[in-house]
Amino acid sequence: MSPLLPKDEMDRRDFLKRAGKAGLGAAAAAALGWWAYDGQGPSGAAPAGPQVKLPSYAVAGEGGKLAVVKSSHRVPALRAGLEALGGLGRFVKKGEIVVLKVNAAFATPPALGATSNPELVAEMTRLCLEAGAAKVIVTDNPINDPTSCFELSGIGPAARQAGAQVVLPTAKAFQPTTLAGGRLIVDWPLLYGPLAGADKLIGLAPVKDHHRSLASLTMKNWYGLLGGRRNIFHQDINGIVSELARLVAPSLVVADGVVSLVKNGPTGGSLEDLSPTDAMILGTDQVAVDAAAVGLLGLKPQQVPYLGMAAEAGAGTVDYRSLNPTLVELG
Amino acid sequence: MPNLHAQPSRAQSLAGALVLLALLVVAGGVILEQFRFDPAQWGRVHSGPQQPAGPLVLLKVPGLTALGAGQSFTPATLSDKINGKADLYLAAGFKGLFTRRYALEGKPQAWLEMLLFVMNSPQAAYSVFSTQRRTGAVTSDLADQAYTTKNAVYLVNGADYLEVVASSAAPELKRAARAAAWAYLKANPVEQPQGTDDTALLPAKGRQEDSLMLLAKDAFGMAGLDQVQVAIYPVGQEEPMAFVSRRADAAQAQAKAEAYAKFLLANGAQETKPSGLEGARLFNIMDTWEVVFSQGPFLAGVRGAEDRAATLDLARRLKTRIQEAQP
Repeated sequence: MSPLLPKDEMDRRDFLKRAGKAGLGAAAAAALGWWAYDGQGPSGAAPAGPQVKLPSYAVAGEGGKLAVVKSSHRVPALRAGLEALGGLGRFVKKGEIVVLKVNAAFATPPALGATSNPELVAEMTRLCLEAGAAKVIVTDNPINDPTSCFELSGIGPAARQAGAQVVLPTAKAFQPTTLAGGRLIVDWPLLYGPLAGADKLIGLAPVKDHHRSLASLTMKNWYGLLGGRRNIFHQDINGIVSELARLVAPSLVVADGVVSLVKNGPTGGSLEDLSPTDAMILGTDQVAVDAAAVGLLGLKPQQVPYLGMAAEAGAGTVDYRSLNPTLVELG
Repeated sequence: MPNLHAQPSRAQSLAGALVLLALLVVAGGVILEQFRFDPAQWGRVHSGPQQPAGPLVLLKVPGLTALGAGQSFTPATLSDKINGKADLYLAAGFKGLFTRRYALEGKPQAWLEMLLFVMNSPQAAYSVFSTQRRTGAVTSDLADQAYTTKNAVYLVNGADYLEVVASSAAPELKRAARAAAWAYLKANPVEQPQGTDDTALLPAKGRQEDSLMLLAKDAFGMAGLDQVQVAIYPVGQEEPMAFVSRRADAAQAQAKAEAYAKFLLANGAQETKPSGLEGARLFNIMDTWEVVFSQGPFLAGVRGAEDRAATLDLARRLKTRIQEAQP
């Protein structure tokens, strides 16, 4: 018996009983913790809700088309490029719902070229409506605050004025998706809300230098359809871009290189980061469009690993010349 | 001394039970919520405008009105602001980013954004400053390391790297960007670092002035090759690059030079004998020439030119310059 404790307050039996209870309590707490321990932790990916699978938005019989328009003006370039592909009417039918996936990643002014050009978004909206689209939805899940991005980039006001519905990402708009055979897009939140019920999907991407992937073009633009902690994919940027190309089968993509962000991308910041590359590349094969567009950044297709990876996975061809692209020079 | 055998009162038991019940309710809530984890909502940090903008919060710029309280970003959330460029800052040594937008008074459409990158050291700040230097930029008198472009101001202030980016090239916005940078500098005075300037080891003759850069980490793709000063020396259509990196001592410089030579060989380089460059090694890799050597505590070399003679000439001048600079 400890001399510190008087005999009438605790004897050996009491001590053992209390020590036993305390030990059992500690063991129970530890066992509970062990039972509840999740060694993997949350994936950071899967939102609540059932899995969704993006349908193909590709237009039957329109595969493998490519047009390169040399122009220093976006609106005529877009019109001429669509004409070279046979007209937008081949892609958008009366009464259809069209989603324009823009790049509204940053809350920066349009002059900096880090986001889709609002003039281009507005013109594509008008053309889709003229072609008979029942509704045009403009959407993206930006890097920065969505409201600021759409407003400061000018995309939101321009799209609304042209008659589009601008859909900002909300938590409910995301549903998990898994790319069959995918390594990265597994049970990952996808910005599905604006796409649910859509008939056609058109990607409008600015041509940009990218610190990590070298080039941010139409395939990288689908990154804005991902939710969750997608920045973890930066460690495997070529892997994620090539998986996105497999995940998304668009009706049409447009790489806007009328003015390209050739340095310090993807954000840029200075007008000196831009270069008038005077080209717009449109097509149904996103790999081919991007392979043609990397030249505007002074790159060769083989220098951008995700192009080859996407082509190998069957998302398109790097050999864009094999599609006999239509070249339009507007001067 | 309290009696440890005494039974708790009814009130004490009740209070204890209530506390336990409350804890059970909290635990139950946590368990239920974690089963409903929604990363779209919780897994991504959209840094909202409510977050403080650190040193920019109190910054007052004459003629400008702050648009909101600004934002702050940590190494974990930096990519939420600058996406794929975050790696550049993280590799150099990044601590925090504070941003805030301002508009010209009475002209909300004419705005600029201040981005204050707080780095680990002045070297880290200089590294991100120099590696992003814009072609055609104009050196500014705002700070020792500062330049302006058509719509922006960029500068280094101690361990801070500041960007002031205007939404257009309007003259009044450009003046406002300069005023904002000046207001920040006045509010955040720092002593200029007194460290050795190794850029002086890169020969001045033929050097493209705006090409000076400090590569903070993994220079030329080699893991562990850090703190490398580089500059371009245009010759005709070619742009050979000279580089120099101070190591702890001569032995470490030599070891790093050997490691770099091994790195080149592992990547397909062919080694040949250099002429008139004692101690240097010459490689041909993908039809361009590379020279690497160590001189005292420095690893140095030349890379990236198809012209063998130009490569060797620049290497000789670099070696001589380093020799002259050493005590």
